[in-house]
Amino acid sequence: MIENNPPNNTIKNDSSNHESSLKEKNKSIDYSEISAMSPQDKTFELLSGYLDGELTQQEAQKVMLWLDNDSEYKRLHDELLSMRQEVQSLSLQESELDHLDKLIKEPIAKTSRILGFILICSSATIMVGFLLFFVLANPAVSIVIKLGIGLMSVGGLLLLISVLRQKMLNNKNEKYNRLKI
Amino acid sequence: MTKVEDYTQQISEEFEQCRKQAFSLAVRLLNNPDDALEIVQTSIEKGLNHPGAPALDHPEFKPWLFTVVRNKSIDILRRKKRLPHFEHEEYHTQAPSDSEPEKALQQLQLKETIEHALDQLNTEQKEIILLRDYHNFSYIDIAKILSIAKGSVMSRLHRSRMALREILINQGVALGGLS
Repeated sequence: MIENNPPNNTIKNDSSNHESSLKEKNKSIDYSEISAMSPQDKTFELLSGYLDGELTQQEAQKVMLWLDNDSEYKRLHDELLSMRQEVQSLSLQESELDHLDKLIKEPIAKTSRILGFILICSSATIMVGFLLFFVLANPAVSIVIKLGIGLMSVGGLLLLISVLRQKMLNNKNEKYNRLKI
Repeated sequence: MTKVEDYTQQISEEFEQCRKQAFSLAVRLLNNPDDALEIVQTSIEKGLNHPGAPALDHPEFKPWLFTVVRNKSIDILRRKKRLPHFEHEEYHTQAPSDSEPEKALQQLQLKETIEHALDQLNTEQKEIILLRDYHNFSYIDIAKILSIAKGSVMSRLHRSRMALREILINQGVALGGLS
């Protein structure tokens, strides 16, 4: 757990005394001192691997030994551990995820998509029906043209049924079809 | 429920969780939920359509998705050279539920301090900390996502943690259970 230094427990502290005290406390393990690569750095790096459970058994035993024998090393371990816990606690905040759901399930976009699909289908059906009625009921149109248009209509209908059937079968068998993307 | 329906339900839940986590990473890298959502959606579509992408129920799918989301986020950051901090805060300022208001306020302030400290890190430092501590990826997966050697993960992660620690200390936060 990360705790705040000031007595009033506020997060930020402008007190220069407090900062100098902190710097003094952390002087021996200041980041700048261990930024250059050296065998000493490797021992500090192993701390992160130790915290994450990513070390071999041999490495982990070394770290445990250093933790027992070096108070500064132990202190850095405690600091990194508490900092890691605090970062973990930030995970997946509900407000953040609610926003995602809201964006995905945005009602206007969803409704307009469905409405648009219904309008297009309805108008296409009306227009095709009207065209067929106009042609087939008109005595001035020759029987050959009527037959041609009739066959084209039947062919189109069969194709439409075939596509719809295929889509329904896909929806039934497709394992990803219920995923919201 | 049939086996197919059970399976679909399970995959659907896992996928939803994976999408939320990917969105969360993108939001934190970009500080912009709209860009983050667009990136996640296009990455998922790419995952579903790309022949080389792992299947949704494959264990490699999540690291793969995070790789794509991370790379797209980096591209956007490079393109826009966005300054850190804006919009982001509104997603993290919800007070934690706690019976003691003072304690709840302290927790909220602490979370904000850590959020701000994370935003002060460069992208390389921030992403590796988020992938490990926030999303719990193993070093092997992190190496895949960041396209780096597995051996480099621990040192890069440690340097990034030390940088975060230094920022927090400079902000007056004491670490390690000091009272």
